[in-house]
Amino acid sequence: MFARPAPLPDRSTTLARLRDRLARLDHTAQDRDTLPVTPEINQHLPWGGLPLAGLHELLSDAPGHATAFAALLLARAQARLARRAALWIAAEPDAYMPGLAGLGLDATRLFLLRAPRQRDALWAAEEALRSPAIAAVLLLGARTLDMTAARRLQLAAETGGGIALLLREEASTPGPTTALTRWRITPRAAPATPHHLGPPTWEVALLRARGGRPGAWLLQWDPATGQLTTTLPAAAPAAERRRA
Amino acid sequence: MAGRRCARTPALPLLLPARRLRPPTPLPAPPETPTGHRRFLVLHGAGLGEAAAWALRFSPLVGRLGADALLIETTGLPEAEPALLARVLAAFARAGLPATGLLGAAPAALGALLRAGHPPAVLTPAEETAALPLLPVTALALPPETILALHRLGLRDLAALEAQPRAPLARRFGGALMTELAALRGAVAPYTPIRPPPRHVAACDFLEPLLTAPALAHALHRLVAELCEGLNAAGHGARALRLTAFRGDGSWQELGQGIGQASRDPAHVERLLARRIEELRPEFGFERMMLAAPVTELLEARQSNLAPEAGPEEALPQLLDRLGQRLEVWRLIPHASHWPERAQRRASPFAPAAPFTPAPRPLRLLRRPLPLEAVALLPDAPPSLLRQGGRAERVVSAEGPERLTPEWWQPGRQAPPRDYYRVQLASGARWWVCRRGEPGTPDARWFLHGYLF
Repeated sequence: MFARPAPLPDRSTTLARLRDRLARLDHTAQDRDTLPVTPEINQHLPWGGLPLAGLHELLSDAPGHATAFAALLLARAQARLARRAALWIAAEPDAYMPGLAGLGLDATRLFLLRAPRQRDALWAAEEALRSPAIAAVLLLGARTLDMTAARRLQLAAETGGGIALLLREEASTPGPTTALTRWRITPRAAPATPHHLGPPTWEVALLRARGGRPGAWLLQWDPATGQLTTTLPAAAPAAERRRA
Repeated sequence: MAGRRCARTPALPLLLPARRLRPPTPLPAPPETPTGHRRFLVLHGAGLGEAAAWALRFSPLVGRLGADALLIETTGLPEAEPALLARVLAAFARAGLPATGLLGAAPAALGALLRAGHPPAVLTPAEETAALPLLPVTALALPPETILALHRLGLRDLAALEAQPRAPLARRFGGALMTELAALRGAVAPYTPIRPPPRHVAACDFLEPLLTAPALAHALHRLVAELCEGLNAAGHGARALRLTAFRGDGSWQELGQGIGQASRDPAHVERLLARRIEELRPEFGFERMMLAAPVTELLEARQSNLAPEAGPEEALPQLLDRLGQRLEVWRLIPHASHWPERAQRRASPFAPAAPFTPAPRPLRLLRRPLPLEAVALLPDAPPSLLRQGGRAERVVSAEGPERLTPEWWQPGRQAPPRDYYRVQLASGARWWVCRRGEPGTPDARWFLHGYLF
């Protein structure tokens, strides 16, 4: 007699559908390729790893450890996107391949670019990120990056599918950013004897992640096996409370 | 057209003039040019030798005949010869270099006729042969003493000279006279073009001189399309490009552009050249532009993608071309040396690559090592405190020393040996420091040479 009222859709399916729609609106939240860091960090990040096709900021005042972390990500991007190359942009690129090769960086697919002016460096980074031949771009020594420039890099990375890494000399009060994630890398003295340095150890703090929570981990690099391991989650840092 | 017209339904009232279908009239036959012979245009005028590069606008093969004469090879040019001659002479007159010219088969004969005062004309081989016997000996390209000696012998014109038996003439005047006589009769004396002719050229003439950047960009677009079509047909890719723009006043400007990997992709070529347009200075406007590919390589045909953008194989060289145009790009290749600065070398991004062997070395090697002040318990002990730029860093542990002695087989003054330490600072950072010079001596100094991790 009477048409039965349509059953109300399940609450969870509605939520799932809404999430799906939002994900389609927001390019960065889609299921996309990610780079593995360590299992703990992958689990913590909302994307299940460090997403490619995005801009990531690394802050540090220790050039060695920060370069190591960035080079590790470059090497993983090279391995992930086979047949694509990595680009190292700096005012005076001083990459030293005998040391970097230990991190798995492939010298046959690494190009160095000298850009004394930041305007040129940003142009080159954007041009490279748009190209489908680039797996990763590392931009060193960018001082203050305005929101427009960062947004342009992010859009370029989304076009080309490579990862953009921005390694900044320690800015004590880093301003707002449009990057997907922002990390601070602090070296930690490993337990060492006076004549043996011990494995490289550094603290990696996730200050900000779009759609994620901050966190901090103590990472250790094992040069013999080429593995990065989390020794223990460090105390949560005084993270930026600002939401994305 | 004819086929379509026949296919129309006959019921339609066609308001066409009653015209019979006729086969198209054949094109007017080109004025009779002897086929299979090379044709040359010889120009005479004061200071013409300077304008040789400018004359490349008429033909890719231009040679100099001394300071006041030019040779332009016109074999195979599509234009009718009288029109070509008129155009060349008019262009030279406009450029302020009045010249007179003859177009014919033997450059030496044409030059001699011009020196004898022949008016500008296009000569058939028969006319050339007829004009030569009347040529005075003074018009020949011979040293003055030879001409004087010929006059003393009563040989005033070419007919008299050629009537002589060759052997005594050769014995008396040497090979130069014989070569000249042979050249006059069309045994072409070889000439050297001022530029090797490029395999692929595209050129464009403009009625109005081009002045504005959009107009130049449009002209470039047409030239690139034409050049790439020619390259495609020949199965070649360009490795170098040369854009020559000729101004109306007889000056010209040239831009060279290299390409890292042979390419005939119009989009890529145009993108590379479009950046250079701003370097062109059209003072009173360009009236001709020529795009040549002087260096080409075989490039196998590849099916173009459905997607407009290039695949990764082509995208990388294209990207490196674009980056290299504005900034310095290189790749690092290993070099067999234990000296830290020499263990890697810069190479062109298109050079063959080689992998590196991992070594306990820093990740970043400072181009200029930073001087350090070090405190050590003993002269040859590892440092326990390092001071750099007013900041003191306590050393927690140190590995070393690793002594590196300079390469004695390298020329030049030898550097002192270095003792390298890998140190861990209390702050957590790791440095690669070295002591330059023998420990304990007053000239031993400490440097920070790289950052470890």
